Amino acid sequence: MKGLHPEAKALIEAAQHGEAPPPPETLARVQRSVLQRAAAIAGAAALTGSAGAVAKAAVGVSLATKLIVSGAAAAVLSIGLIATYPSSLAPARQPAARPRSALSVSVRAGAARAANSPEVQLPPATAAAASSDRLEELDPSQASGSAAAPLPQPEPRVAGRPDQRARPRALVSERPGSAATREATPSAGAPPLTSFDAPEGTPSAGAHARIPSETADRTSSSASLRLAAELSLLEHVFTALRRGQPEAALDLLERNETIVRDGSFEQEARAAAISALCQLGRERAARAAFQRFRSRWPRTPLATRLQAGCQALGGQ
Amino acid sequence: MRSGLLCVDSGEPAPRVLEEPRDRSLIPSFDSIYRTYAPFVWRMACRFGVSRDAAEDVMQEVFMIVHRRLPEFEERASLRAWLSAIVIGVVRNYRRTVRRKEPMPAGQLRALEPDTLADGATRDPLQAAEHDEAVQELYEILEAMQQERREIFVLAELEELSAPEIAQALQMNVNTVYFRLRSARREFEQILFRRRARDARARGQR
Repeated sequence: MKGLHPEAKALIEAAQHGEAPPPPETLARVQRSVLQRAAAIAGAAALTGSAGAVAKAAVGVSLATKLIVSGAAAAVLSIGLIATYPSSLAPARQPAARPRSALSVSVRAGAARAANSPEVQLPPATAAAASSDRLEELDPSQASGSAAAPLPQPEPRVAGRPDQRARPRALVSERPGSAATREATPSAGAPPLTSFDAPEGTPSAGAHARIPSETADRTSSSASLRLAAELSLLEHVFTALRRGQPEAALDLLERNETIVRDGSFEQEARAAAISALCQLGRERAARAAFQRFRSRWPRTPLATRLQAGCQALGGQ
Repeated sequence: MRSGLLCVDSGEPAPRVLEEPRDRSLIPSFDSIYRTYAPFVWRMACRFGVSRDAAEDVMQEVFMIVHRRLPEFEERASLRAWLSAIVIGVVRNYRRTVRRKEPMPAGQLRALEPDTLADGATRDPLQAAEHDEAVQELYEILEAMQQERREIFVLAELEELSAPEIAQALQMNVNTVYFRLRSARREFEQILFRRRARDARARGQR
């Protein structure tokens, strides 16, 4: 401020003392919104590569709307559930317990263009309940395979097994006795929601999904976990579609039918499945799935978008 | 990992600068940028005449752009200058939209909300009142300034960016920065003195 009149300097100095910083809740809210929007855009971009730009944009918008309107996704994100990035970019082995001191979305240089998959960590300021959350990761040792690698047959999921690393598709690396292990079997009859099955060679293999295992309110925790599992699944499906691996995307969806069915994002998941079928050239199956889709959600804009993006559905 | 922009496959040995891979670890994460610079972005938006409610939207837009473009960020560049450029672009758009939607008479574009001011309860009341008045006056003067001068003034005098950083943020020559900064200071002082003279006259009439 060398060139300023002393009176102007005095005013500026006084004003600088009087300006308030943004409230912490505003900071947390903006951070959540940015991450939600980024996730929605990533989802839209993923579908863009499979069933046409318009269809995917619609899914992205739909996802974003649901995220915002329901508010549940905000809670999910606030407890830091979703974290994925391409296996090719994943480090050989992530530390089991990452620092949870902040929400971080780090888009790697190449990853942003190739996959645009953010990595989300737990923000302390976003939710008090999150402070006790434990994070579990999908086993990075599963990171392998290329798009051309044959997909293994589905196997039943076993969560919390100490010998999981020896098995080819034990995705949740849980420490015996950990809180996550306890939480992984929430209630009788309910499907385990802390993870989903993914085949090797798919984008989900080697990716990291951080899932809270302890919350103060078990009921809301269960809902959050379910939503988190859905979002995480969709994230992986989108990544697979974006990478041109429709069979992997389809496999993911089929394996995790329990998560998809009647979920908040079932419509998006079904649309992604149709998109994958189109990409695979399975026209008859795509048409049948599309018919079911349209009869179930007759007014969804996704139907029109899917038709626009997939020639096989053009006659529908 | 080599940046796509830096990879030149010409068949000839590339210049040394192109051979050096970029160390991505030098680029800060989105998380750390947000934690460190969110108040900076917020403050700058307010100083550029954005209301408190809209400042939240502006901040969101800014960080969406940061999120998207972080991989392109050159680690040698100034992060504050880079962020400033983004904030300026977003604020310009915002102000254009506001002008189009609800044109307001000059001088009323920015009504200072009480909670834009620091928490008075934690400060000496007299000093707090003085500071609050100063904030109000500063914002009104900034609002009255010509846009380009306001931007350069805020960056130089309030955010204390260096001339090269300002040049980077505003995409202009350093000499132009110095020239415009002189004009901006002159304008700021003129507005300030006019206000002071008007206040003195008003006090004299009472």
